[in-house]
Amino acid sequence: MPLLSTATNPQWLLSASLFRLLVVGSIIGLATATLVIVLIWLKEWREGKVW
Amino acid sequence: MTDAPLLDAGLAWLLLVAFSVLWIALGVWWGKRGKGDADDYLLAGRNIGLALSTATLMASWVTGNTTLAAPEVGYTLGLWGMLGYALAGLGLFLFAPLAVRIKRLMPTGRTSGDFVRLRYGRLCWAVFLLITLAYTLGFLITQGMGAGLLLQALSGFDYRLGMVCVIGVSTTYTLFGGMRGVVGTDFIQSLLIMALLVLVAVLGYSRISVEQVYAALATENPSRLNMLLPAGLLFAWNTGLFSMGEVFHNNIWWSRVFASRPSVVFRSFVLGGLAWTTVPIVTGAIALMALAQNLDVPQVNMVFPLITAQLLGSGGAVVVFIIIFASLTSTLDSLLAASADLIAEDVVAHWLLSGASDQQIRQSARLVVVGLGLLTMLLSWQYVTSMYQLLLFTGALVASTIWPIAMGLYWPQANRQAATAAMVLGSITGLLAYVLVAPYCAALVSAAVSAVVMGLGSHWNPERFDWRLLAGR
Amino acid sequence: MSELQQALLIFAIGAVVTLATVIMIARGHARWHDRDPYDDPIGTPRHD
Repeated sequence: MPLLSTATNPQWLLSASLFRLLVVGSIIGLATATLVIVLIWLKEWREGKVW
Repeated sequence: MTDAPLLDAGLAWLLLVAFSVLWIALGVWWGKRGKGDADDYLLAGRNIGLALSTATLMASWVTGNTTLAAPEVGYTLGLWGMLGYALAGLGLFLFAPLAVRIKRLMPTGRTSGDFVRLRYGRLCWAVFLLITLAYTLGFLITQGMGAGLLLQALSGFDYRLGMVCVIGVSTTYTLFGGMRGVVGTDFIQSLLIMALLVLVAVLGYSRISVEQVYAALATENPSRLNMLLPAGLLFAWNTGLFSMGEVFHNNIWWSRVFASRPSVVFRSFVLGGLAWTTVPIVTGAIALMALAQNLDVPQVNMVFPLITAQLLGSGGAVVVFIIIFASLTSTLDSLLAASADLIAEDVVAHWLLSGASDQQIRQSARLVVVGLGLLTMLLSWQYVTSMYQLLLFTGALVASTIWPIAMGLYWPQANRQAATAAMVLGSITGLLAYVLVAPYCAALVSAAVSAVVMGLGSHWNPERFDWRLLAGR
Repeated sequence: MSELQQALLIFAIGAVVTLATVIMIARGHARWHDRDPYDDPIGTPRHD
């Protein structure tokens, strides 16, 4: 399937700083999301609004 | 696969039994709450709060594919693989406004089939049911096969034994717990998945720095950093459109809308979508470490378990086991519960047994859970290596529903013949594109054709739909 | 057409289809925001 070949001539490489932002940003984002869900649950649990 | 399993068989058995007992016990326990009527069994009492609602969206959308195939595309396509896969969060994100509309329009609705039947009539409903059931079966099979493959690769279990165990556990707690059991276990499963993924990523990147990974990629595998990689550009929008088709039409997501408290519906889909978007990037970034380390990866869809075990030792293998087991069971339970709701409500109550009682609907939902669980085991019995290709195939079907569903919720002009034609023509052209152009184009072509048919058909022959018809069930 | 040109074409079509869907949903949401869900703001369907 020629359309799926990974060989290519033109290149536009992402810069190291953007790569770092993507990787670190996504890890921080996931950690924050986890924390936010736990905090919302705690608040709802105290108010008896979980279910 | 590698010669020696990554996880000791005894430890793997211990984890399997411990988590199976935990999910079943929690499912049964939560299933005993509530009034015990059909709304309670099918929709957990329609009053779920923001935390559980967001978590169940996360858990259901982090599938076995997200933990196995997202790292795979990150490994093979690099940045476009990660970013393209992350666009699947768009499905959840864009469903937020639709969810508000659904909740207000259909306060007593139960399934996505209810909407299509009332909005577009029985012919369109039949086409819709065919599409959603074909997709659901494909999805169930990929999860079942993923389960067998994972346990085989991680701990040397027989493929069928692992597959039967995981499907059996999900079926059991869904049967006894209903939607409450599913949502409750989803909450714990999503937190486990998210927290452990962060742990693996942080520990992994503390051993090899981001700069080292970048430098290794730039020297050895620059295509992974190339934003003009043709295969990556082809892949880029496919997952986003596929995800919209999946989320807009599938009863997993509609049942979450009906089950949640009205005030939390919008926020839970936005939050869930945003949180989910980080997962493929994190798992892809973990997979890129395998390239930087020159790790031998004989089977690319096992890159995530392999690199984690390589970097973090047997502890890493345990973590991978828990993450993938949780993602498989949390998706299987949602698929089983939501599909059982759909079949019980749409096929049994509105077709086979017109005017079925509350008790009959509840009983048929239970029977369907068991039937679907057994069917999934049967269809997953023979492992096929191209399970992700199978899922891409169904992308052609689901993407054809995006415009009929969204337009039908907002515009009274959306016409029933156009909706039926959009689904049929979108599916056919999408399947042709899958075969003739490339699998990655199936969802795109299907969505584009369906949008044009829906838009033009409704413009030329506008319907004047009375929204009040959706208030009943 | 080169491999890259084909890929860019499909990428562009994907972006257009996605954007069109986003716009349709945003317009629909704005249309029904803070309004009775059954009270259609448009009198004659063709005028929208």
